Amino acid sequence: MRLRGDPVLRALFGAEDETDADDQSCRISGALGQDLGAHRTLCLQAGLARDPELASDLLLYMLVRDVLRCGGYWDKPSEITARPAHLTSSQSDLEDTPAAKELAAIRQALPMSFAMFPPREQMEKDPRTVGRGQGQPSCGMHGARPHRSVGGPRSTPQRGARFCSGRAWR
Amino acid sequence: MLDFVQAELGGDQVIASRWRPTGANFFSRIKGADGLAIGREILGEDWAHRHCNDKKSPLCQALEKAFADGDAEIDGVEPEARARAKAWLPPGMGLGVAAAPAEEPPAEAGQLPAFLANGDADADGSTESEAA
Repeated sequence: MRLRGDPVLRALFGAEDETDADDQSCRISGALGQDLGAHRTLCLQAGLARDPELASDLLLYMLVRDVLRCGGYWDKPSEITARPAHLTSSQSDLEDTPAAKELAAIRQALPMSFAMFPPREQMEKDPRTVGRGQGQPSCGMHGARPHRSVGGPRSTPQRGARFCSGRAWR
Repeated sequence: MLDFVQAELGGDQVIASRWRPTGANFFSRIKGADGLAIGREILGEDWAHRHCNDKKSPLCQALEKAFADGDAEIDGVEPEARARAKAWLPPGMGLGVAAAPAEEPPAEAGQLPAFLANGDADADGSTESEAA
């Protein structure tokens, strides 16, 4: 576990050296502070995207915090959620930063076909044939690129077809 | 939480390698005196003396140039001061923690991280997690 600097972990496993080096005297407005915070978060997201071990530790740590009621959330034993962090900037310059471009490139290069719905025309023609070995898989249940590091057997087309064909997505 | 993640990712370097203060995103949004004070602290008294009578716009341009990433040398700025400027972050963005030994440099556009680019690397990742 690499998040040993957190106050909760310090309380659990013992204190570490405290460093308080933020003694600079530059006056920053609230709006600027908010924008800088968004840029900082974006850079850390890009850094996390390149460090799967830390990202995994962070996920586990946040789940444990919730389960152990360390974070102020109570009665939440196992409700796992995932959502992208929403960043805003008063200057709309977030998209032009190297961190944003780095993240966009990573997202664009990710094989996401497993998460895509099949084309509507294909569904309307014959929903039952969707995903049954037609070359281009249409969703993850068809094993286009199975979930990484899960280690289990790949899903079969039959299981995936059941998932795809009966859906009311219109 | 951000502080801890930033420290684990190598300290201020993870931010400084991806974001630099420019005239538009930072220096024009603080007072000129504060910009000059930052220049004095990071770039030295000589630099501050040369720019102490500047209007805000040229001062912002000079600060942007001095604090930008890259290998460009700035007249009258020592290499050590230039290195400090390239790593400087505004209050609240940096931890004041020295950069850890570099992990992976920011990748070029369109390039996936190694752990995502290779579909067969799963076993390694899971082994590490289990060992931890």
